[in-house]
Amino acid sequence: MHGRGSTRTWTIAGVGTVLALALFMLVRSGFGGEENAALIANLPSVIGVGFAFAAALWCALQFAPGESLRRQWLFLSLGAGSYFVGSVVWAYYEVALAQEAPFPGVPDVFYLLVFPLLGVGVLTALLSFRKLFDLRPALAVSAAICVLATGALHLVVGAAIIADTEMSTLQTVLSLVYPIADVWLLLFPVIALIITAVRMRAGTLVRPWWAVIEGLLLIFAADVLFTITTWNGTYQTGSPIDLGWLLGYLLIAVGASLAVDVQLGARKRAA
Amino acid sequence: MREGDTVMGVYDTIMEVLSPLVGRPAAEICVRSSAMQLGKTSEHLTTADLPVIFDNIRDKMRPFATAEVLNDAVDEIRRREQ
Repeated sequence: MHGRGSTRTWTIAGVGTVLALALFMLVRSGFGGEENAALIANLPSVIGVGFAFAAALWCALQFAPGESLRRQWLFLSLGAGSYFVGSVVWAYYEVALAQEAPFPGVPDVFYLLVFPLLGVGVLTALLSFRKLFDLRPALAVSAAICVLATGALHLVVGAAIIADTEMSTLQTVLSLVYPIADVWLLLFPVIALIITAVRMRAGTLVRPWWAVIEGLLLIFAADVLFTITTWNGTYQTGSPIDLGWLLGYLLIAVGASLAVDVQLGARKRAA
Repeated sequence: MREGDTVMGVYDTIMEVLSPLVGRPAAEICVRSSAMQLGKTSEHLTTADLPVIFDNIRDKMRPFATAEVLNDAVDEIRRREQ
């Protein structure tokens, strides 16, 4: 059993990290000048997340059809895929049409789809442990933390969004949906999964989920910081916040590859 | 397989095989629920109880483990108890 990860897993982690850092530094360097700024700025989310999506999807498809693990990893990889497609559409507006992406617009459809896809992926993973553990305490603790997080986010940005009279009703609703979805569709299942994974200690089968947990926490943090800094006008393309998404989705791909290692290791070695 | 043999051996073997996979608490739950089903305590499980224990392991772990992993674990327990 590949408890420490196969060559494939280390390759995904290594190539993905180098790619993410290189693309991030490229954006920060200002390479290409003003005329290519839109193209360069969109490369990380298209290439970096595209790589993570492709790797995660390939790993998910290694599990047999009908296998519950296949469903779990497919939802997670399709979550990364939805973010990737949203980024491609966003880049199309900025690079091909040379205009700002509309808000609300087509990219939002895919960015919003990310939440239920990732959320269902984590929830189905969590529920797969229900025959071993009573999940109610984990869900209750997670819900309590998320209520506090919702309150905190309301104080930091929610109240200001609601009070803004310059936005249309749809823009206001959408601006509120993003942080709420972050808390209740991402953070909520992730905290419950953390509590459950801790109970399984260092079990080999739970290791892939630690990578996913770390990835989703990075994505959650990046989303929340993006909302806050966009709202107070301090967000800039090439901010370290962008790395949160790149490394977050990469960690999902690393988790998917680790799952193939620990779950299908014997078959892969025999093949 | 030694029918009715090694009272502590079966428990220890199962814990040794399952703990690296799912951690000690989860392994303990698998063994304890099998023992309860048989009306015994974990320490009183014998090799004759292995089929029930294997069914329990498969039932509880199947949603998050592939058939390959479970077959390997069951085969390993069986091999050590022979």
